[in-house]
Amino acid sequence: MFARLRLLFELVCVYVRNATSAASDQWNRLWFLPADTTTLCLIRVLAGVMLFYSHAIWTLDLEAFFGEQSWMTRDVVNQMFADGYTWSILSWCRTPASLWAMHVLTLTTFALLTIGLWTRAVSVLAFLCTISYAYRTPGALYGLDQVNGFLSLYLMLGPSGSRFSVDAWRAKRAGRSLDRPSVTANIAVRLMQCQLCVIYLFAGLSKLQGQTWWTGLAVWGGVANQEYQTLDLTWLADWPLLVNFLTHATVAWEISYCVLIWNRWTRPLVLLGAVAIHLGIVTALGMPTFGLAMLIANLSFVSPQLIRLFFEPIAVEGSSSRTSEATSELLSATSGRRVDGPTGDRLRTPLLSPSRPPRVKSK
Amino acid sequence: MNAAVTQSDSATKPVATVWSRSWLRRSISCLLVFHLFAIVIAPLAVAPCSQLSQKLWSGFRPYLEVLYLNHGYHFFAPDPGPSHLVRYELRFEDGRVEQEVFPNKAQHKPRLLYHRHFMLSEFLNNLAMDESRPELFHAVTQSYSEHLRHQHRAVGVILHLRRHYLPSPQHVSSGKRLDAVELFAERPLETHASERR
Repeated sequence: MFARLRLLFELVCVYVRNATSAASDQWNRLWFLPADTTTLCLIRVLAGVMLFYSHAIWTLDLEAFFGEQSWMTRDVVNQMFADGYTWSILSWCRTPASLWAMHVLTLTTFALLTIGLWTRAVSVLAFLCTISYAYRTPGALYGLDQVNGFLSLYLMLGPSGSRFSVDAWRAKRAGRSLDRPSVTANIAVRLMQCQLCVIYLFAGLSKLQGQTWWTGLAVWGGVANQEYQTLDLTWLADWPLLVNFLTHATVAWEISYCVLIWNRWTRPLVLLGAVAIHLGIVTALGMPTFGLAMLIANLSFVSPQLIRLFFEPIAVEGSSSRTSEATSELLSATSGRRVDGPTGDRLRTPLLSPSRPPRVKSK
Repeated sequence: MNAAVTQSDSATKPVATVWSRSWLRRSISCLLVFHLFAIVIAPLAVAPCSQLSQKLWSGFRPYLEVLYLNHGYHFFAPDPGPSHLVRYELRFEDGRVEQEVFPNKAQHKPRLLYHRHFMLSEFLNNLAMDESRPELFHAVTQSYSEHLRHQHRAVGVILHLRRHYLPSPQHVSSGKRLDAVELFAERPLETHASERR
């Protein structure tokens, strides 16, 4: 009896030890392998443009939103967040001159982030500016600000200026290269991916509380809302089954995103769904900035190889052999048997690839 | 992933970098776990929610708020509802009375600026619906009124919350417009009249 119990105990111990060891390996592989920085750098450029644009719009009515006689005065905002932990640099700007100075500084910061000059320091400033604006006028915010917030937060963590940047160009001129696989780039992209999964999961689950998402009429609620509407899709009134399908597909896509996006075979389909849904928001629901910001965040799941194929001219303009080499590299990123990177790309430790992953060589 | 494990064990062990230090990986791992918990707890604690979620959220709240991650992500949920606008009447010193509405597609361009104004009116409605903080609703209404009064150099402002109900598909199929009069309902919010300073 005791021998059997002991055997059982040992089996449990072995199971726990192996499971812990496997989980630890997986965890290390997930977070601590150096990753190609291409994806993070492209996100930096596009998020920089989005941050610049969405904050430049405040210029048209800056004092109405952030001034002393704004829609929500500083006192009201303080009352709203009385027991909170919010903060805003803008609360120090008590005169129009200081407010405008801060605004110019903010736009300059986002411009520098976009072109990638002094990226490390500028990305921290960009985060501080983004949050400062959000917490100063909470009544005028929506999903766009949430996406801007987390993108600027995670961009701070990795070397987002190592490609597509003035920093990279200056380093190249000085005979150095910033472009090497990076663990912090991996962590930054992984965090964006996890954040997206949480967003879509809860966006989907919260819809299950509503009646119209079950009756299949919820999409009609968006289409027929004149305040949102930018494209007249009211002809859908005569296509109830199509409205039902779009409603159910939206919920199914949102809830399944956090699972299917991690599989290399379903990932392209899930991303295709993201493009369809967010372009729908861009064109029909009058939120082009929000739709595009979500698409920028979804880039965190796009392989660096695919991005290089688009942004490195040689991959497109080179000979057919070079193009096919790039294509096979791209395909191996989604079908090969290998270590997955944050975007399904091939990851190499410094031992395997001390610089950056192989690419198509120019003449 | 399993195939990858067997393929290259060396790939699982970062070598010869600062990341090969296990204490560093463990420390960063703790931070990552904390962060991942936090970003899940934030939407989990949006009502309706459990007491456990609420308790956990109160622990993570400082972290979430400082990093601006305290969101529910309930987009168009639980149901896409009617939208809300604010109609305001301005009374001027010479006795003139004018009225306008925000958001206003014709006035607020580009689209993002319109949407900011749209969110202001939706925010006011959310506060009007939330009976737990009447003092905040009152303060925000007062702040909006004061802003409009100052902007238009008026002596008095009256706000009305206008609800624009969604038409049914049958309503639209029968040829009725999205802005049909019967789809609007309005209630006065607050009168704010003070002498111009």
